[in-house]
Amino acid sequence: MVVRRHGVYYLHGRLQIAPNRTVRHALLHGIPITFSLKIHIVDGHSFLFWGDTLARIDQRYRIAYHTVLGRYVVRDLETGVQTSYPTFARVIMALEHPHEIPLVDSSLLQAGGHYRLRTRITLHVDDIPHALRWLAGLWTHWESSSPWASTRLVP
Amino acid sequence: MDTLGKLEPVGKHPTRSLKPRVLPLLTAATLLAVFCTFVLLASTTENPGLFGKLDVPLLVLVVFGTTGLLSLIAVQIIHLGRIYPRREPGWNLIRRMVRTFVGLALIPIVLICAFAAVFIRNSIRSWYAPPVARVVHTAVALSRGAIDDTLKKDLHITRRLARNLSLAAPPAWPFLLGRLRSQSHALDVVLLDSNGRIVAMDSAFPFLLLPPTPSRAALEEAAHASTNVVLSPGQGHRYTVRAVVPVPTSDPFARPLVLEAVFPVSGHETRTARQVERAYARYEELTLLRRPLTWSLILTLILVALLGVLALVTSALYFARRIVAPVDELVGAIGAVAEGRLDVRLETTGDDFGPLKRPFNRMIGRLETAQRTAEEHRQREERERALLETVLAHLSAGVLVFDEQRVLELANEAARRLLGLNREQDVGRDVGALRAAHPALEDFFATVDELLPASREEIRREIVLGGGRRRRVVVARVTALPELPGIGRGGAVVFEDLTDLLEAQHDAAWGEVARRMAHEIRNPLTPIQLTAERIGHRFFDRLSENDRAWLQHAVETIVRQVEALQNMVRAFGDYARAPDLRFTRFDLSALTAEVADLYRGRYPRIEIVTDLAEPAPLIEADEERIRQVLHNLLRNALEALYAQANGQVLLRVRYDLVQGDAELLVEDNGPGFSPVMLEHAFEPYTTSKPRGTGLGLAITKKIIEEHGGHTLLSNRAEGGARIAVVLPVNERTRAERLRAAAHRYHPSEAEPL
Repeated sequence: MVVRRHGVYYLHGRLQIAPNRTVRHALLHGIPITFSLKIHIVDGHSFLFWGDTLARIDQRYRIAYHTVLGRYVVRDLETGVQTSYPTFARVIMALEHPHEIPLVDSSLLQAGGHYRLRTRITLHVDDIPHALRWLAGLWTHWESSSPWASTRLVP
Repeated sequence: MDTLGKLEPVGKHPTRSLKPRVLPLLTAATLLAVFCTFVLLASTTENPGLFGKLDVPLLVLVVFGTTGLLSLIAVQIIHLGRIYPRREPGWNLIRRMVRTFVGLALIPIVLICAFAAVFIRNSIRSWYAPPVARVVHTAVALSRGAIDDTLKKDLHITRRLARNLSLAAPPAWPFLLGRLRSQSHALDVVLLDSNGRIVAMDSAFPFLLLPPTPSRAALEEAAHASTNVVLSPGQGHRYTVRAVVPVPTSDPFARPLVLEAVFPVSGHETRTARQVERAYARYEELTLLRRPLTWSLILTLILVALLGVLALVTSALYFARRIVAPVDELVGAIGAVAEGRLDVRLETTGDDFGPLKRPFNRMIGRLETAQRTAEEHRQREERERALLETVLAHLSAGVLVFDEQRVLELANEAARRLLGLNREQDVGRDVGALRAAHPALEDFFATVDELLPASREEIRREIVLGGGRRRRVVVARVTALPELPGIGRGGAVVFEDLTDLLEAQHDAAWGEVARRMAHEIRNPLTPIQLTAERIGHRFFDRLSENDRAWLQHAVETIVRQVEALQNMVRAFGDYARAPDLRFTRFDLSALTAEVADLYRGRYPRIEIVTDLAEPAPLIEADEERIRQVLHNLLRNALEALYAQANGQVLLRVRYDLVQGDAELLVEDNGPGFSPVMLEHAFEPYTTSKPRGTGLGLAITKKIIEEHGGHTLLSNRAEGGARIAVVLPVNERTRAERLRAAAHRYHPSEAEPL
């Protein structure tokens, strides 16, 4: 759901996150994972076939399990704000409900325009050394991404 | 010190084609990359945690180092391929040295790699050994226990604060919160309602307008009352304990309140917890990455070993070349000397082979000096010999040199031409062998054989040689030579061909005789004839019949004889007259046919056959004189066949335009020339006919020689005479022949005997 408040469009969403076993396994073994929510606002009237992207938002969170604390700590990589959760399910639940994510200034959108909101979520393990990741990639998949989801945005 | 002069580097090595700056730069960069690889690898060995940070630089360095070493090896091999295109001895030595170096070092490298791989696997496996896992998990448990104690303590304090707060009236809460926070050493104390709104608060950071409120999750957890205290990573470096407890109340209608208190965790506890946390996380991470980590290290080890092998091969090639280069240089110099190049010198500075090269240079220097001296002597002798040969070749006289054993050592060109000797076959023969090989020169070599043991005084002897087509007269002088090396007391024979000179003198004498005869006899002939005729006229009528007949017969006889004498005088006049030729261009074949036609039919028993070349080129000559020659020759042939049945005369004309000659051949099947005629046929007054003047062939020879040609007499093998007349066909050839004839007495222009 997109709401307009004080001249800015905000996203209140409902996502469905299904991390694979590798990601869960890595997290439980102390390897942080990164959750990324990519949001593109595309002008549907653009002469470009794939549309003209008006705004790109990348909300990234780093999720780490603290063994001593016994809690999952989620850190907003943009703001640095940390939040801890007792279970991974609570982490997923919190991430599945993005709240008031600023999208775009309303002045950039024309009333009656044809816009599309495209979103994609990615979970990947990025703390592995590059050389190891290449070799480890022979056995495991360190990244899982959803396909791009598109919905219409009417100013 | 070498005193042989300028030293020149020797070698068959081509100029190094690689840019002089590229190879050192490539070598330095490669060595630097390999060195950095080893340093980084050593660092990661000491601290495996660095591997994750240095993996990319390591990979880049390994790739660069490998590429650089491969390039260096390729450059070395290409260079060696250019130096040894035919796998020469130096190449085999380098190959063996490289094979030995690599073989010696490869086995230890492989063994070390295998051992290191096993060691790495075992080492990594040991990280996850059960004791280690137990230690890690015990440390985590201990740390959690300590944290739990802190949580319980802070939760207890927070509950006590909540109870104290519940006993006070709401207006006193702010003041009470401040006192309680100060007493409990909490960082923040916040009283909130169930919606999260702040009712009262106090903070250790008074500059904060609002303390950090508990999150919705914290409030929810507090509502469950079972997880109302958590240890959270603070925003700073320390952990904080956040406890949320409900404020007890006895009023059932009062709004529910919760108290959140945030307590700092001591620095020691925080550090301990973080260290345990990091160690555990590291341990778990390594557990997860054990297999790729193992293979990464082994792969890196293999790459490093490969780098080592490549570096080894490069070094082996380089040092093998350095070691072989002096030997190769020496071999090249020896090869050059063997090919005759004595200007080669070897570099003797900064080389272990200097003690070998310096004597080599001295030896080659001496050889060069000796060769130069010998060459100078040879050239001087060659010049003198060439000069002598030139002088001998241009001598008009023939020169023969015999050694003490009478072996012919030298025959100059004039001698070879005059005697018809062959340099390869005859030089080296003794006089006896020469006599046997040249029967025609029997008289000559017999005389030489007789005179050779000559004293120092010159002996002169005239020798007549008749074995060839012409009879020749030579005058030989035999002189003893002083004793010479290789010859001993030999002798020199110097001879000159006087044939042409004598013939010229002979012809001149005959010409003078003919001229005088013509002059002295022709003058009285006419008065004699006129007187005889006048006597006949005067006395014819006075005499009797008988006397008249006698007188008439006598007068006619006198007149006929006078006419015969006049013809003879005219012939002598023709012979003696000065040449006055009128050259025109005419067809010799046509002229020959015309003359032949004049005589056909006159002699029924004689057949005149002509063989005339067609097409016939025009020759340049005095046509009337040539006609006279044709008449003379044809008349001679016909007269020779006069008493013979089935006589035949052949007239043949041929042209050799390459030599510029026309040949007229007159053959008959008569008795041929007698030996005396063959020898003296061209001399005036020589004839085999009773009524001939003996001037026909002499005049013919004279006319032909005036045209620059020559006449040859011979007998046919099948019987009969053959006269060949050779005439130049144009002015250029004629001029050349006349010029040669002017020096006919010169031996170099004479025909072989």
